[in-house]
Amino acid sequence: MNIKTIMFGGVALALCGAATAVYAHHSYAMFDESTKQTLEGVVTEFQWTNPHGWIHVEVPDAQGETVVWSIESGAPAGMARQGWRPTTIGPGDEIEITFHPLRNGNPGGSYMSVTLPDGTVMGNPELD
Amino acid sequence: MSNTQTQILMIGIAYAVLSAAAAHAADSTTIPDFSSNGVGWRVAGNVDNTGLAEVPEDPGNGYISHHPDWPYAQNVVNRVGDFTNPNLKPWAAGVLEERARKVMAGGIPFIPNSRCWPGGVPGMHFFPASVFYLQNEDQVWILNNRGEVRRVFMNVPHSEGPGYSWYGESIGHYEGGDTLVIDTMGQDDKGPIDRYNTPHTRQLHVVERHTLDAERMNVRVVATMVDPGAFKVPLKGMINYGWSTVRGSPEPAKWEEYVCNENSDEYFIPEEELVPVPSATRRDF
Amino acid sequence: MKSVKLAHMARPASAMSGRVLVAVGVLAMSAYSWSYPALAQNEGTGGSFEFFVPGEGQDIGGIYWLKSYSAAIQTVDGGVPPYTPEALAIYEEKRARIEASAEIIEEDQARGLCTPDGVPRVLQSPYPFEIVQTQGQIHFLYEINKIIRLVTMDEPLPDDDTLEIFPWYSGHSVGHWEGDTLVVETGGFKNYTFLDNLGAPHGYGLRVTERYRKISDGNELEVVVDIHDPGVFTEDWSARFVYDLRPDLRMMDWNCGEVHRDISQVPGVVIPE
Repeated sequence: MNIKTIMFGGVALALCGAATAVYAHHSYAMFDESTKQTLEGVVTEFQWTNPHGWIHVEVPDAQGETVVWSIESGAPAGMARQGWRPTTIGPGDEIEITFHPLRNGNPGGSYMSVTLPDGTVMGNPELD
Repeated sequence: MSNTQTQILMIGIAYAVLSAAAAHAADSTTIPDFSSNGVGWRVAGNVDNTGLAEVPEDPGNGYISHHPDWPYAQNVVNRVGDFTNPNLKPWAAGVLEERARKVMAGGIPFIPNSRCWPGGVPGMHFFPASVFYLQNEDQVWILNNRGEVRRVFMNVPHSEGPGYSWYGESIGHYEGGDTLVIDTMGQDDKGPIDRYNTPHTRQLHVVERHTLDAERMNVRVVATMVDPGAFKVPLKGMINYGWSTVRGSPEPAKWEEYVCNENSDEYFIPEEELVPVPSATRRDF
Repeated sequence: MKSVKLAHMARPASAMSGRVLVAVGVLAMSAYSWSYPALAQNEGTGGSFEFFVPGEGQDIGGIYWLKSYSAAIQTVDGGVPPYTPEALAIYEEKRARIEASAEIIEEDQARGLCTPDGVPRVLQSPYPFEIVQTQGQIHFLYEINKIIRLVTMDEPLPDDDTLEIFPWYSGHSVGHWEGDTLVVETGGFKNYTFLDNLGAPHGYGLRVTERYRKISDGNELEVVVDIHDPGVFTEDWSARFVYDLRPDLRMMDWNCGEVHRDISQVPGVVIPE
């Protein structure tokens, strides 16, 4: 039985009381990988770190307030393979970002693709 | 003797001589070489992620594992320590139960390495990290790429009143041509001795045997933890080190700086549910 | 200072099997990997470890403590580093905030989160450090912030691509001996570090060369450090630090935010109120 079965198929009997208390640190189960979301906004910070990086983007909401979305990206090695460098984006850059959203609806997700200010598309914006 | 018999005898003698030579080369005066050719030692072969594994020749030795009703499963079942283990003194079982019940109720367990806290002894040996040994005639340094450094003073006794610190005071010697024996006292009472945050006192006294295999590609660390303040019997567990790859890299791990604190912000978990990472607000200088 | 924007690499055709994708990933990975030297390995089983013996005049192992502390980094002539006007403005803004209070400013990760100080800032640390020499490498173990710098001997620095993709707080270091002087070259720094304790800035292009030498009959260690960071400085410049060899000391453990060794006796150190 693999983890996905346990997660989507309900709680297995062997895990008495495990319920829904899943600790989310570094767990990709917290993202809905069957859907994607795309937002436009301004980069506030691009963290090029291990074991994964972060792209923080300020996005205006329906009320005109700005919300900072935190999108978790891959580690430097994986990002570099797509052509990323630590300086590819930085604070103030206007980007479009596509990601698997958090299941709980909070402003965050896991990185799929970014369209840079000059129109270059990094990563893969399509659900495969 | 016939020619064939002579040949057999000569081969037999030659084998015996070579074996004796090999045995002599690995005798008690040989110092085992833990330098691993610049490759980092990484935890390998520990089956259920408890941090410590059973010592094969000493089973049932009482290291604290998961609660029997809560078998740890990564990303599914969090770590819940076995507070029913009869080897724990009542107060220690009580503290462990309090920590366990918080997790059973849906809380997030405190994982020292995730929150960038020190591992101490033997904690730093089951943290996910690349471990390196440096040896000179007076000292052995065991360090990992998280910045943790242990210093083992060789062939000397413990000092008077070494105080209390995260890694304590370690003294050591070599045995049997393949083993580094380390004796550690003077650790404070805050470091992890397993992945369940089993509590201990400052009386903790850890003796480790780091044994290098003949091919120099595995180190077996057996830790015996004595703490009359917290445990009724010595707890014993094993950590296996091998040359393994990291994060899908095809090569065994070499030195790579890893700064835990640079990525300790958990943007998806409410701050109040997490133990803060060590930090400072006022300058020392 | 942004690099040229790069177009994304061509994706493998979707017809490729998972295995081939992994292989492509592996090949791509090795383009970004670097190799450290194969260290001397004892032949066969039962080989005994042999303690490294430094060359004549090349024994710099030991514990050292800074002789005199200055919060601001100075050139060897005692002056202010040759900043460009823009960089100087950034420096002065940070310096004013740092000097105004004992509270750690948010940008100072090294003091607030205990991430590594970087180089040359760590060289002016008022806490001790230790040098350990073994075959093919030298370790610098600093008490402050649990900083470990590995210097790989007699190898070139990793290539520029690797240094850009895998920047480290302490940079990547390689070394070699020139007579009795250890020359350490370091590049590939993260840009979260300052050059000194008052917020001196640097860029991604920072390259540092340290020259270590025992002086005063082996009781002191001197380092002359050359700073190369075009765009931040108008020219290369050098600083110098001197340390006492302290065989009487033991290194202490470090955890961020806790009480550490008493450094009040280090000349030049001012403990904030």
